[in-house]
Amino acid sequence: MNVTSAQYMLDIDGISNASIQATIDGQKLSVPLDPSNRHYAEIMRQVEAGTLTIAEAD
Amino acid sequence: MSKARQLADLGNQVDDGAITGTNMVVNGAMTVAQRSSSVTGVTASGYYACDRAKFYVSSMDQMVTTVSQDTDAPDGFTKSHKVLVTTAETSIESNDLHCMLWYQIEGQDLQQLGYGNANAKPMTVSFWVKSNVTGTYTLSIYAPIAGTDSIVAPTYTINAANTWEYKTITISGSTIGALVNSNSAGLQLYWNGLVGPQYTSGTQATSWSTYSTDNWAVGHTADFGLDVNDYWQITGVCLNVGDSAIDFPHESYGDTLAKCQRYYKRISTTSDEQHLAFSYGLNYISTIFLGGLNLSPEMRAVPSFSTNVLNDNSLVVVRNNNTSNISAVSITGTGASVRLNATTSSLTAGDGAYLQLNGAGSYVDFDAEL
Repeated sequence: MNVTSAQYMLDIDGISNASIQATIDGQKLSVPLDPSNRHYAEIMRQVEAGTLTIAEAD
Repeated sequence: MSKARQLADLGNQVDDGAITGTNMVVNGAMTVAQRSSSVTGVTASGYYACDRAKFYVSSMDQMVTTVSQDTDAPDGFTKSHKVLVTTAETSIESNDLHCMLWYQIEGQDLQQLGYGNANAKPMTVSFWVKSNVTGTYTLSIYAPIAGTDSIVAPTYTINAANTWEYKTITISGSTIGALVNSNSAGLQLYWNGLVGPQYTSGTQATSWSTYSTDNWAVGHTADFGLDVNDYWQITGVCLNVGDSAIDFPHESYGDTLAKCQRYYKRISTTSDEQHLAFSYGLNYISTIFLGGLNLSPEMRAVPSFSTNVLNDNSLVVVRNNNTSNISAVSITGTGASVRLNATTSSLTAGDGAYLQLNGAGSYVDFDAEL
């Protein structure tokens, strides 16, 4: 997967992260924070590899 | 044939799953294609046309393909998964790998194989295949077993060009290790098309072996994709327990669709006049709508959400006598039920509202694929 952007989205409490807004293979996705989700697993693999940084929520 | 012989054969069929009709492959007849019937310009791995039928490439330089659900199929079938080369690869480099079909199965659905113990059972893969490129192909089956990743890579031959041929491959049980017993991939099947020397320089894995790159596809000699208009099609894909292939267990479109929706679900409009409500909730504050959506059947994991109509009046919050366009959606929940958090404007906090798709071709996707 080619992940070109990733940014956390806050939950309604305005404090905790709820999901990641990502662009993967040219498609904008809302990715849940679920290790079984293939998009989340790939984002975290790239983060651990040092090739991707997830931006903090606005 | 004697009654005793008939009973013995019946017993074997039961052992092989023929009576119970168990096919561990979902959408093997390629009848369901929720995303699209055809996608052009494909250069990356992913899901494109037939549900559950993933396409895989690694390190390819030039090859571009069209991946489609085709209406050409052998007797008894109506659809096939087709890969058509529109730009050819000019040469085969060491680490080139192109697989027309990559199929993954949840480990929890494979436990009947009994892998990892002395009584591990054989399994049989059967399928119909057609291509203009004849020769010997490999089917690489990979088992991600912690510490002892395993592979078996049998060959099959396409004997005649442009002709549907039926293939069966039986694989002995593996005693190397147990398959993961969860919703993660337990087995991954790769129908290889073009294979670089890096993947063929080892020892042929005719039975389950410790995985290494160089025994991925030993014996593969067919060079698919070196010419424009090379094509490869498959349907009737079946994987059953036992040492012989069962008759393909055809099922209704509805049953297959429901199985596919464990992994991927598209909600879409089909006409300009259509207004499709799909998530009901309330306006949390003036800029956030919260809506619930039950996912039936339960999906494999919490799905990713996407849509083709953000910032467009084709996806709106319907509120008190008006609508608001949506700039972003965040998803949380489980595989059974999700909450959609839509960022918008002009809402009245506390009012009831719902999400709606408008016009032809608008969709929202929920993706929990492996």
